Amino acid sequence: MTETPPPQHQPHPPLSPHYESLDEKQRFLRDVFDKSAPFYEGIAGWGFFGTGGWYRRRALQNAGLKPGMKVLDVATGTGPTARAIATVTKAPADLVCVEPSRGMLLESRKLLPEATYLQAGADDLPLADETFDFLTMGFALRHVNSLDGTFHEYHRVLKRGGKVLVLDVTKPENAFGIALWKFYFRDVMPRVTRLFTRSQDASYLMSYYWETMEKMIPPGEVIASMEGAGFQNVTRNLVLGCFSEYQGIKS
Amino acid sequence: MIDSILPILQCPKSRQPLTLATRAEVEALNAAISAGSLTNSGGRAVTEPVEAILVAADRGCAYLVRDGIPILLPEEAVPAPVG
Repeated sequence: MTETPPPQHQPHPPLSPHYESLDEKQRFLRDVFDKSAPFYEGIAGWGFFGTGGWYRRRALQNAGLKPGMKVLDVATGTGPTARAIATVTKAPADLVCVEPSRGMLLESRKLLPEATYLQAGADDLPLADETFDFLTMGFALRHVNSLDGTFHEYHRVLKRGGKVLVLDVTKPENAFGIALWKFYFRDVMPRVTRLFTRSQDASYLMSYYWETMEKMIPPGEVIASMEGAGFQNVTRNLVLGCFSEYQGIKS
Repeated sequence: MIDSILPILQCPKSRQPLTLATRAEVEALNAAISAGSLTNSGGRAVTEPVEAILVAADRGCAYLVRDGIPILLPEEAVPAPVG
């Protein structure tokens, strides 16, 4: 049995009153994502990440995703990154999507039925060693229990020469950017989500997102965790001051 | 679909390869679910029938499949069918 490293780099501390422990965190997330799943594609569509399919395709191509690659999309959600991957690789049948929320998986499968879907978590990937050419995670790094454990798993399932690309929203580095970031994610998103979806669960999820963004550990620690897992040439490309694209190679 | 991905699947806890249970084993497990006597590793009662079961090679545990989607979360594991 593979040893799971202790959660030395947690994305953020347990967020009370939502949950007090890591076990509770995963149950909480599955529940809130299941409840929000029917609304999530709509939220993403009108701009939750402010990016859409174009941004994801650009990030994937810049990171070296090419047709013919076997890809794993972790925490696939309703599948926006998976669909961008399929557009680039032109082979959705070679794409495996992993997600702990059943509600999210069922929504994603409606939009990209050719891919393979597994209900599983990033910390315990149910997949064989050295299987994939490329691994992606879009805006979900905050939801794992342990960054170290997650990146060890990513390193394990990638082939030699394989690449990881993690997209995330990170805190801007200047006062104006921070003010704008807070206004959009803390004040606008939960309210607009409530207005458009009329779902208290979806609005609650957006408020929770803000808390995770505010409490997320700095990018330098994410990079240290990737390097600690064995990734080489780890870089962080920053777009528009708050969209971080972490990349690394398994050599 | 499951047949094609089976070679790359493994137990998320033990890393053992997974194999498909027999039709008789699936029927027996669904009977246990109907009787309310199946509990998963997370301590929750399993209440919905399954269409397939993935069993760890060492028969240490098993994972359920619903709507064509394998449920490979450690807390959702169930005891392997008795062969």
